[in-house]
Amino acid sequence: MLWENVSAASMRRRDDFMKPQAGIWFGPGMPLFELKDKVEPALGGGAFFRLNTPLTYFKTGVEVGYQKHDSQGVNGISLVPIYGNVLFLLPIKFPMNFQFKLGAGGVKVYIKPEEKQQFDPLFMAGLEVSFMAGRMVNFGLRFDYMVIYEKHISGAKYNGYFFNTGLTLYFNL
Amino acid sequence: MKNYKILLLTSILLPLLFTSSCDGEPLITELVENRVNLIIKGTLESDTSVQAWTGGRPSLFYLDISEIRADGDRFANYRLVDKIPVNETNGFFNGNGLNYRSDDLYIDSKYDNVEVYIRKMGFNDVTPSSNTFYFDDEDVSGYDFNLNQIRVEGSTDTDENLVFPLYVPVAGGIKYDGEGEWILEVRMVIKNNLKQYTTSAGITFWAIADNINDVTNESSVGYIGGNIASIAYAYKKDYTGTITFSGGTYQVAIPAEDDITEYVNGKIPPYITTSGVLKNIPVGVPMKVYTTGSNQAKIINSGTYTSAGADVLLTVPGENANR
Repeated sequence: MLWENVSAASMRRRDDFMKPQAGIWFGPGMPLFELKDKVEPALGGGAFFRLNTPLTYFKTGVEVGYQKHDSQGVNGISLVPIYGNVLFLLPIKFPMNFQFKLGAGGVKVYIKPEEKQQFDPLFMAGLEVSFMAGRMVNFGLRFDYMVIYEKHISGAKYNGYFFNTGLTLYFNL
Repeated sequence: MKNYKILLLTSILLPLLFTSSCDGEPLITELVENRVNLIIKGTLESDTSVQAWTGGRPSLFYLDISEIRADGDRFANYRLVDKIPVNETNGFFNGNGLNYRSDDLYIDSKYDNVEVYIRKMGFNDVTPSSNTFYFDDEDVSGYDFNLNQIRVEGSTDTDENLVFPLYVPVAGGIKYDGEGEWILEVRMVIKNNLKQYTTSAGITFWAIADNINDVTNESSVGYIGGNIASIAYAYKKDYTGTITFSGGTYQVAIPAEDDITEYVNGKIPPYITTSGVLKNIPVGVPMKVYTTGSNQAKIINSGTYTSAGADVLLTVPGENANR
């Protein structure tokens, strides 16, 4: 009887999790590789919206974010990533939800001291660990790896790589 | 729930379509790599035609610069700590210059001054040799003659006496355009510009001669090492030519917009050589040319110059103008 109840609860939890979701996140973003010596880590944040698909464990979402990295000197870079992603919910019975993310889109890049800006292609991969607090609210941690793809441009020697971690709060609507 | 298809399509394809349509510039590469190369020198001459060290002198120069700025922009926010031998074996004194780590400047800004934040300067060969000062995490034998110059507030001497920062005028200004590779050269006349002082405690030490005020031993020990003769100039690499002429001891060029009488009291001409060939003259900038028979000390104070002919304007890279 007890087992039945738990199962019912977890079923209901899954149903709630399969609703459309909207949320926000914030946390430190780190420039990687060559950029690490040029700009410093900084807080970033963003908002996202997700819908589930006919495939039970897959969701699709859109994200927009902002992060601005300065330095002790004149260097700086600001990013506004706008991208879509596909999320895969790990099908395990556990109080926490593990979701893997793959995404692509664009990112508005602004650099100092050159004071130039443009849209670049963006690719991302990530992991989200979250738990539900009640039927509506989810708390979680996100880990995102972003690639600003510039090597297709003539004269480019580097892509931009960032690793973002963040606390996230989102709602089952 | 068909909405997911629309969401997926718009979210992924739209930004990708938008970004793939424009070619753009390599911004990340632009941020990672430098176009502005900063070089510092301790010589009067702007090239390798430097005069050899003469007379009595110490053997080691201790230099600690915390950063270099351009009109307040922190484009070279990196420290340089170096023990420089007082001879011709190193770039600081042989005319080749020392590379100073830097980032880039703001494009289309005109910079008129470079500020060199000198934390510490000292020479060895102090008497008694047991006298030490703290340099680069160790006690070294020598004398830190710049102690009071880094005290900006409360200093009783004039601003130009200070070395934190040392204001270095840029001849013609820096008109950085963000294209190609740029050289910014900063020169402070230290070579053959030293003087020996003695404190009331009987410590005899070497320092850079004050090039404006007659700084003597006791009353002015605190102000020793100020008023350093200096200049900076910038040019785009491979966008320069040469001017060849002879006469005098030194051949000199300055931007035609300037008056040679401005180059006194510690401000030295940007282009000055004993070789007869002035290098790295920027294309498209009119230059006035002079010769002078003055020696180094005289040039720093009030050099007398003789015009070497009409203004020179180079029009193509690699061009040589004879005067």
